[in-house]
Amino acid sequence: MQINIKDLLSGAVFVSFGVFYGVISIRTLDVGAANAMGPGYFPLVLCVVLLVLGAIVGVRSFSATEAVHIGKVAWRPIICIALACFTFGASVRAIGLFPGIFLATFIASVSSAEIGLTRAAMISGAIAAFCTIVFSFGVGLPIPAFGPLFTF
Amino acid sequence: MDIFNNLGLGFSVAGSLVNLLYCFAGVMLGTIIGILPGIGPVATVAMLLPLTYGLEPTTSLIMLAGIYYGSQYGGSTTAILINLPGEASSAVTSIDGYKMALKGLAGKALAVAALSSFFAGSVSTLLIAAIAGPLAALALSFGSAEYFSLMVVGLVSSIALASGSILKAIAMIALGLLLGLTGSDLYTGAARFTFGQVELLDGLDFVAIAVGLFGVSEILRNLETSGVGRSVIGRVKGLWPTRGDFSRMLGPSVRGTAIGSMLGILPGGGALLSSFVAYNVEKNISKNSAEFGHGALEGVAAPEAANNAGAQTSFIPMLSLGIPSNAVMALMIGAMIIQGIVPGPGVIQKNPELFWGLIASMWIGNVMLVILNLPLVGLWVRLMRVPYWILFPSIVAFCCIGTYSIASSSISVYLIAISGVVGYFLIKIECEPAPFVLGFILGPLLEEYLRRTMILSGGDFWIFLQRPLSAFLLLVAAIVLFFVSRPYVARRRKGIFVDEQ
Repeated sequence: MQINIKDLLSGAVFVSFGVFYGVISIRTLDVGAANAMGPGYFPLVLCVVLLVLGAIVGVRSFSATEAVHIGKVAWRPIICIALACFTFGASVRAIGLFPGIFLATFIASVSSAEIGLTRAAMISGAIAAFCTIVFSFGVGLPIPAFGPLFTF
Repeated sequence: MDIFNNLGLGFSVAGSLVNLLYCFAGVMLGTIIGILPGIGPVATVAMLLPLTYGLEPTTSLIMLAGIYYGSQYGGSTTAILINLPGEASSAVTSIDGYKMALKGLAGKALAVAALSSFFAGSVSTLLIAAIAGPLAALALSFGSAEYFSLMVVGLVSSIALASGSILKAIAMIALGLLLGLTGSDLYTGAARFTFGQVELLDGLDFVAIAVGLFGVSEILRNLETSGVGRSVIGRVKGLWPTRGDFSRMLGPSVRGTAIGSMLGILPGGGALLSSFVAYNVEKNISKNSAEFGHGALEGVAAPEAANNAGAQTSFIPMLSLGIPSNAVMALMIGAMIIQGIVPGPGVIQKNPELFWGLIASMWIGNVMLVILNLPLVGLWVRLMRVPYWILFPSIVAFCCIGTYSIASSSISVYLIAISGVVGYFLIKIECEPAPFVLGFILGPLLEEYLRRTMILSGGDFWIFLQRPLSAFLLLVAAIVLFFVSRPYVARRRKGIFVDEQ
């Protein structure tokens, strides 16, 4: 039996979304009827569609003509870039644009093992400076260059 | 002839030094905004609206309009170079445009995009001049049933955007529709799928999702393999299209312009659909349809022409009916009202210099954009050939700033990361993002029209077939579905026959 892992996972994704959102729709939203559609009607229809399609794709994956595997997964970049965005989003209001961008780009640069820490620090400083000049002073975005945490 | 008189009036108004200056400022700003991932024309027009209070109404509209269609040009630039559509309608351009860039044809792709946009801009200017009045009247006959059927056509077209399994494409559309419904319900105000977050009441930020899904996931893909010392974009072979390329570009540009012009006139998001539909039509008609999805020139020319034509013709319902096609048009209406001009059926008669001046300046703006963008193509390509370890942190930084600044919302930035990682995995299991994006954009619209039609018809689903225009559109959708599934069905049949042998 050849399994197409990609299709199996796709089916799983669709089914899970369908179930998750479907349960939310039924339990928290008013579904209503065809002539008085509530907020939950259309979402429920879509969830059913997702469930059905996900099931078909998933079941079909077991009868693949050849086994298909997923390629390499870039775990370190995923963690680093996600962390970079989360850090920026959580901290920019407190620490300002320059430190925020510096942190975000530094963490993002760490995703590649080839970039040394010094190079990462350099590029982060350069990008942070560029962004601060262009966005804070140039375009006039309402994000302070250095946030409340840095003012004494 | 009337049209020449009108255009003459328009050009004399648009050609004044002040208007030319503000037109240039508008398109320049629009291009920059379009290039920066995250900050879009809506935010820019909104920020600059107060600046236009002191200007003449025509001048302010000229500048704001310049920002709008200028951003379409800029948005395609990033879509082609780093797979990051700056605008919703540029998402289609990135499908083939980015593949061309990877093959070293970035310059060519950018030139094709600029030239077909210019062609579309010129033609739609003439078109608007010729048939603005009667077209607006036609658009009035579109009721909610017709809009729903039109959206269905759009959705079915987006299946063509995927080069893989049709079932998965439909599922991605459904997923996009579902996630697009996040936010407060239009009719009842109920909060849907917001998980208690107030920031999500307006829906999931589309820009954040697009930036993550296309841009960040691409970065993650590139980081799979080592070698950040080199650039991702292939070595540039030739910045300019060859004669053969020009003849390949012509048909798609013409068809794209026609589709974009027709769809842009429909108030309520017609222009958004135009690039998606044009891509689908081109894919089915083209002799090179196998190349679509892997770097086909036609796959860049058609949607680019369509979205530029759509952007310009979407001014027609705004000016003649007072109905905005999208958020930017709504802001323009605001600008006009502040200046004391009430948009509506009378604007063309009562303020001819405003209407025709705006139309003429759109053409002038397109000329400026082509002059601005084509020489810059070489510069952009050189910029993007920077080693990746410099490029990708910069992209992450710009995405964060841009998305955060739209609403000072941290949730949008988190959303970039989430959709980036999720998008990376989805693409790994061959679920394509393009149909998802269209579903996401159309979801709320589709549901709104469906519910309104159901309320009006009292729950009778047959109304979609009883109204002739709606029935026609559904037939078109069925035909599109047939054409789209044909290669898939043929492949399966071939597979079965091969097995039997």
